[in-house]
Amino acid sequence: MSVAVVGWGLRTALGSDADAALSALLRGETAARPPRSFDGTDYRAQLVAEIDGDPAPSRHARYLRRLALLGCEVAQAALRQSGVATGDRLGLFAAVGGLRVHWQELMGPMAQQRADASDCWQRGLRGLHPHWLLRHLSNNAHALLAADIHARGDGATLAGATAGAQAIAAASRALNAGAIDAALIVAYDRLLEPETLVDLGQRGLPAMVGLQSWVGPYAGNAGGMIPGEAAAALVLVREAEAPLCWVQARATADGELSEPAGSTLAAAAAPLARGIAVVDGAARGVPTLDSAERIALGSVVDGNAALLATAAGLGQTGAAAAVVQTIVLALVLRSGMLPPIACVDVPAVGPLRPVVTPTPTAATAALGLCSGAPGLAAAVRVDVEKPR
Amino acid sequence: MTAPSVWLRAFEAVTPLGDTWAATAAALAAGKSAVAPIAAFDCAGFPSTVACEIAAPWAKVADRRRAIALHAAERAWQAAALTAAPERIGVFVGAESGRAEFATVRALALAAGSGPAFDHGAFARFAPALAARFDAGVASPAAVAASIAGRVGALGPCETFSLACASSSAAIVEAVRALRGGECDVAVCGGVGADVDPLMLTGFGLLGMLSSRGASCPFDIRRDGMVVGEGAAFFVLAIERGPAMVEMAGVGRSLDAGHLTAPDPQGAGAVRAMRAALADAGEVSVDCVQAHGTSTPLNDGIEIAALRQVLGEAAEQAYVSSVKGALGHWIAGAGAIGLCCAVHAVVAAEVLPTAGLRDVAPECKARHVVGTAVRAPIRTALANAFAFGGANSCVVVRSAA
Repeated sequence: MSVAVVGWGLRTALGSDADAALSALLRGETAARPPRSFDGTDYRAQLVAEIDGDPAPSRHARYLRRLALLGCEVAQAALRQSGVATGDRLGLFAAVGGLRVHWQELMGPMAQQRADASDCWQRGLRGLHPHWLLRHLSNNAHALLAADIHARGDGATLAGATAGAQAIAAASRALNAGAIDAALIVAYDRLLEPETLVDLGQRGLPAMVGLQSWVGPYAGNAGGMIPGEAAAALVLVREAEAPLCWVQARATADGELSEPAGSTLAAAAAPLARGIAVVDGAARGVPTLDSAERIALGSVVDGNAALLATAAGLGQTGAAAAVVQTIVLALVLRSGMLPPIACVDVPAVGPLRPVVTPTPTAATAALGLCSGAPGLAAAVRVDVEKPR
Repeated sequence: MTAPSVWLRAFEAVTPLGDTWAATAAALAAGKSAVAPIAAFDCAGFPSTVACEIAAPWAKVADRRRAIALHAAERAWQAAALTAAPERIGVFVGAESGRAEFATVRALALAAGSGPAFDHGAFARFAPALAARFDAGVASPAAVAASIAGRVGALGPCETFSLACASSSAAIVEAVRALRGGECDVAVCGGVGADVDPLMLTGFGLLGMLSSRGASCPFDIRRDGMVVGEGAAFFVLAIERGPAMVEMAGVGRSLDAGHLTAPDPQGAGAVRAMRAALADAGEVSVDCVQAHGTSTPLNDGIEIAALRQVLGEAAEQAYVSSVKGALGHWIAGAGAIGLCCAVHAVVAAEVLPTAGLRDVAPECKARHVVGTAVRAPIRTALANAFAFGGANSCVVVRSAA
C-alpha cells in the first residue's frame, strides 16, 4: 500500500539538492569522473561519482563518517520541509549498506599482528580507539539522529544494497499498522571504499575506461557501472492532501553471489508494476545484465515503457538508491520531461524503450529498480497522483 | 478490516549448548551454562577471556555467520514442511555485517602500508587475490537473508535488520507485519550472532561492556558485564494456522532517542515497546517474560523497573528469566534466541532458568526462575530485546491451544 511523501532531502554527486540533480539529469550530464578524494589509479574502477564537499562541522563527527553525517543533514532538511510532529509517534528508519572496515584506524593496531592472531591484544588491538565499536556500530547514525530529532516511535536500521527499499517498506508497514503517524527515512551509502571497489572490480562491474570512452547503460557496448555515493531522506505519512508523491517499495533476493538474476528484478517489480509506463532501470551498464533485466522486465511492464538510467548520471548509490530514485522520479514526473540516459546515443535492441534524448511525458507513475550483491533486487513505485 | 492472525509453525536453533533447540532446551532446563574460556583465538590480555562458542566442527568455517544461520534456518524450514509460491515467501533476518577472518584483515591492512597513510595503490594491487574472503557474499549484512532466500526458494520480501542487539527481534516484528498486511503467506525470520572474534571482543572490551569476572549472571548482585555468545535461531511463520505452535499475538518497537550506549534511565523506551506489543496482542499482562537481561549493571535494573511499570501488580506473578546467563549475548541474534525461550515456555509449559543467577540484586527483584526450569502452564509470554542506540523491540506469543 502506498504512503505519502511530505518531505525530502537529497545530496548526490550531481548537486547539493534534488532540483540540482534533476536539472543535471535533464541536461544528460553524468557525475562520473576519475576519483578526486583518493588515488584510484590502480583500481579497476576508473570512474566514480563523488559528492563535492563535506558535511558541516558536527559533534557527531567523532562517531559518524562523512556519508552518515550527510545523511543526518538531509534528514533534518526533510523533516523541516514536512512539518510533522516529533516525539512518540514519529518513527525513524535508516538504510545503510553495511559496515566498512575503517582501514585508517586499523592499520596501526594490525601492523605487528601475526596471521594466527596469537598475542593479538598485546600486539596492537589494545591500541584501538575506545570508541572504535561505536564508530563501527551499524545503527549509530540511527541512534544519534533519533536523539537529535526526538523520534521515539517505531524504527529500525535496514541493511544491504537494497536497504533503501527495505526501509520504505518497513516504514510503510509501521504506518499502516498504526504504530506511528509519520516516518523519517534516512539512507546513505558509499561504494567508493577500498574493499568495495576491489569487490566490484573482481565481479567485472565498474567502468574501466576514461570518461571519453565510457558508454552508458542499455547501449550494446555499455561500459560498466559508476560506483557512487549519496545521502537521501524522506518523510512519510499514511495520507496527505497534497504530498510530494506517493511511494511503495519491495526488496527481494535470490541467493546469487553477485548480481541478482533478471527474473529476481522482475519479481521485485511485479507487485508494483500495474500501469507503469516509465522505468528507471538498475542500470548496471554491463550488456549481459542490462539485456537480462530488460527481457525480464518486459514480462511485468509494457514492453514499450520508457527506460531511464538515472544511475548513469548519479552513479550507483547502493543502500540509498531506492530513496534517491523516489525523489528523482517524483521530480521527473512532475517536470513532465524524461531525462536522457547519460553517454548513450544508440541503445541496444530489446524490450522497453531507452530514453536517449529529453522526452516529454504525461506519465504519473514510475518504477525504479536497484540491485546489488549478493543477489539483492528492489523496486520502488512513485506516483504523483494518488494511486487507486 | 481486521488483520489476520499469524502463527508459528516451526522453529529451530543452533547454540553453544546444542545443534538443535531440543538439545539446547534440555541443557538450559538443567541449568547448564556454555560460558567457557575462549577457544577461537588467543585472548590473553583481553578485558574478558570467556565467551559462549559453538564448538561443532561444521561451524569451523571462514564464513561462520552464514554457516550458523543456514544451519538453523534450513532445519526450521524443513520442520515446518510448508509450501507456497516463491513470491509469497518472505525472509526477515537480524544480522550485522560479516567480517573477513583476522588473517585476511591483517594481510589487507599490511598491504595498505605500515605507516599512517592508507596506500590505495598497494591495496588495489594486492587485495584482488583475496577478494573472495571479503566480498559482499561474506561482508554484506544482507548475505544471510539472501542465502536463506536462495535455499528456501523465496522471492517475496527479503529484508535485513542491523539494529545491534534488537536486530532479530525487529526482523520478527517485521515478518509479522508483512504477513498481516498480505505481502506474503509464509515468512522465515530470526537472526544470527557470530561475534566471538578478536576485533569485536576488543571493541566490546574497550567500551567496558564485558564481564571482567568472566560470568554472565543477569539480575544478580555480582553482575559486571556481558559475555558474548554466538548462535542462530529461526522461525517459520504463516497465515495458515495448521498445526501451530503458538500465535504471534503482538509486536511493538520503540526508540529511546537518548544515548548512544546507555538506555533511557527511566526505561521509557522499553516501556513503550512492551506496551505496544501487549496492546497489539490485546493483553494487559503476560505469564512469563523472557527478559533482555544482559548482566550489565545498568540495563538489568532498568528493565525490571520498566517491566513493573508495564505490568503493574501482575509483575509479581510473571515468571522472569534471561537466556544470556547460559548462552551469552548473541547481539544481532539475541532477540531470536530469547523468543525461542518464550515459545518454549508456552508450548512445553516450562520456564527456563536464568543461569548464573544466585543473589538477586535489590533493584532486580522479580519472580525469577533460578537453578532449574519451572513447570507451569503459560498462556502468554513476552520476549524483550533492547539495543545499543536505544532501539527496543518486543514480541508477545500466545498459546494456540
